[in-house]
Amino acid sequence: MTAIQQEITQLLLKWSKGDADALERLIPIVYPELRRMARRYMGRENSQHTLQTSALINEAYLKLIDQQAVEWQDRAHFFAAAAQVMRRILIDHARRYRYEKRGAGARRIAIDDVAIIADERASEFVALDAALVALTNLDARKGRIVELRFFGGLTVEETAEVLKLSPITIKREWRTARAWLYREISGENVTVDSKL
Amino acid sequence: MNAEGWNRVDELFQNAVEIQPSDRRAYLDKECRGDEFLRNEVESLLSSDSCDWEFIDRSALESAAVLLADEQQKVGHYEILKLIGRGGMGEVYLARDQILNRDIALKLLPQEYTQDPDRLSRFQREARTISALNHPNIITIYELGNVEDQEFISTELIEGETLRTRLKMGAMLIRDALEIALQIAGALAAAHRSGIVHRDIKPENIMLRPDGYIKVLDFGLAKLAEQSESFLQSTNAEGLDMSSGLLMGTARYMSPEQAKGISVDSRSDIFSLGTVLYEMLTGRPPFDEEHTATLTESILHEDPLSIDKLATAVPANLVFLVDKMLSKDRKSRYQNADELIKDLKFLQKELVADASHLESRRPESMLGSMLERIARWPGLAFSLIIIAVVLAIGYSSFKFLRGEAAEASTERLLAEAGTWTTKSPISSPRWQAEPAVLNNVLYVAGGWNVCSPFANLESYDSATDTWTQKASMIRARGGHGVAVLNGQIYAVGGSIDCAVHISSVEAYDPATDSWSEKAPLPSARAAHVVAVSNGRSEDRQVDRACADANPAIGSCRRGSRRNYLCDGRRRSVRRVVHG
Ligand SMILES: Nc1ncnc2c1ncn2[C@@H]1O[C@H](COP(=O)(O)OP(=O)(O)OP(=O)(O)O)[C@@H](O)[C@H]1O
Ligand SMILES: [Mg+2]
Repeated sequence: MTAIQQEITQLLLKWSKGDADALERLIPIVYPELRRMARRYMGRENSQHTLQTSALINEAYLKLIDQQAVEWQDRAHFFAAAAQVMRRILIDHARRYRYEKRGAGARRIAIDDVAIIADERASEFVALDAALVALTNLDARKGRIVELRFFGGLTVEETAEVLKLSPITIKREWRTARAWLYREISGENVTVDSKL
Repeated sequence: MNAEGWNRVDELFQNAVEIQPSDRRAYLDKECRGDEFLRNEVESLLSSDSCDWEFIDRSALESAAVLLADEQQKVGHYEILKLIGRGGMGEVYLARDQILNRDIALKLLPQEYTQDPDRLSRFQREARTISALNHPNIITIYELGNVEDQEFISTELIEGETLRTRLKMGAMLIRDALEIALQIAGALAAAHRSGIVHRDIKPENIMLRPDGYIKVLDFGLAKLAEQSESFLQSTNAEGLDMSSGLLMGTARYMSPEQAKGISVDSRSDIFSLGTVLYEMLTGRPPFDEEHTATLTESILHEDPLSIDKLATAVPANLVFLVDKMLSKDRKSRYQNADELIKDLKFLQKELVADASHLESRRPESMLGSMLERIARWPGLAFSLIIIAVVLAIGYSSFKFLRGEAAEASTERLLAEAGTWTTKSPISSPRWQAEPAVLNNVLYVAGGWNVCSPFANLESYDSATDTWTQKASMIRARGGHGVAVLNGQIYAVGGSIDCAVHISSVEAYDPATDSWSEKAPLPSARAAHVVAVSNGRSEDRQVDRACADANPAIGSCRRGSRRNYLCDGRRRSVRRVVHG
């Protein structure tokens, strides 16, 4: 295990136990690490390749934290913390991305597939974040499930373990959450019988 | 909606998705009992449920990766454009230097390795070594640095292909193979003279430029040697981890000493170059086994098939030369690269001669050709003289070439809007003649020609495209650093002979057209970089003159706004001149 892994894990643990400063120290470590991963797995010379290999990055991220080092009883807190950190970093990043593209500092127009898709994704991130706040107000458990699975990159089984629920429950709850978020974001007033 | 209402929606939705879409309407009729609001809620969720939504179905990180990839990726002032290659020591990118507006090669060291002091010093040593060996066949290094904890090295971008790529097309012409081997040997000779063993000569580390120049990359393995030795010792038959691809690639070209894990010297590089030459001539490496154990075994004990069995029209002397390079016992090899160069050059000439006499000469009897071989090889007295002359001419023309390079850099400074124009040349060809721009006038100071330093200072008038001689420096020098500070040009250090560095610092005042002596550097140095930091005009300082006084210290990196650090050797940072 590398020193970086150790540091990230320790800071996450501290943060999950209520040390607010740990977050400020985490972000500058995790963020460059993500950039480095992106650099490693992607390159814009081949957009097809870029879009395909993005799956690898999730694995790489999970390797960033040293799961063995986390005591069993801390796991729920720990992964919840990790997912929150990720959410924060990625949403900030998407906001900045959109600002740079469209805001005062707009420099470029979409020049290729990667840029077009990236632009869409950035908008989706921002919209999802707002919808997830609303969902959490309505149903906190579903909010956590989405945070763990989507931002934390955990599988159904891992999410179940962290929340001490059965995988079946996670799957069902996820499905409602997903439908709810989709409806919230698309703002559609769904016409009743078309899909039934 | 209250919690109770939501729970009901949730429950009905979760039940409805479990049943056939066609049965859902009936199910909701039954459960909602005319509660339109409830029914609408559940139906709209069901409708959303059936929509494709790729974004949520993959993890956030995957989507974020696309964003990251789309951002202009930067490392310091380098904009990363594309991945060129990947080796045992990180990735190499094509990148753009946004200050100098040129493309460069950027090698990034993966962070997991920068934690490891061995790996890091290997990397830094690679950089330092390369920059100290100012040789046309060795890659030029621009900068060694660290941004956001990312160690990097920027080097000249070499156009063209690696020898590995070239070898995919099979064996090469003898003539081409000799020329490439000769240039590699030239790089090795220079490195060995400075006490540096490359240790990783292999086709991946040789680049062929379209203009015929060969560049040797990666003088970086030296420091890692102990690590790989223990590594080799600790692994068994299939035990080598090929995940990086490094070891296998390297293993094929390693010397018996390396295979044994004992300490190596410059003769190890001669062996590795022998394996590369063998492959160039025959299209296959001399030691080709799949598994490391058998590969090591044959490197240690087996004689590869003779090259004339695998290629046609191989001169007997070339067979002899390759055999000698590939001797298991290093005492039987060429003892240094210069000896090898002599024989390679001899062979080159022989090849030309043979080609022109091909018609008139017939292959003689075995005895005849043996006699000829014996007679020709040791006929060195005469050929040595020729070689010496050739070397001398080569050497001086190399210097002339550098003189042209100095002119070229003048051209670059003068070039407008990216186009190159030939301008009138400086008074004589020389290299390491340092340019400086003062009050919008270009000056060129000092420089070399065949170990004779120049004291000349010349200024350039772009309106008339003419050079004017100005007051000469007090000491003639080349390889000095030049900086403009408070309206004067400073010449810092340099050497007055091919091997004698000086610490003298002098400054030129254009108002009086004269040079004055300044406080000398703390130690003599040449081929160093001088920087003026803290650029505000009221308190400029030459903060750093960081040297590689051959080859002790390497290039420098910026530590903070005010201080420049020399590769972690803070002590070598000295304030040289106070403005
Ligand atoms: N300065 C450069 N200009 C152009 N291409 C380069 C440059 N440096 C490296 N490359 C390319 O990148 C590839 C990878 O280089 P790198 O040195 O990282 O790996 P390697 O030579 O295969 O292994 P090792 O780490 O043992 O040297 C090279 O084979 C070459 O094709
Ligand atoms: Mg290399």
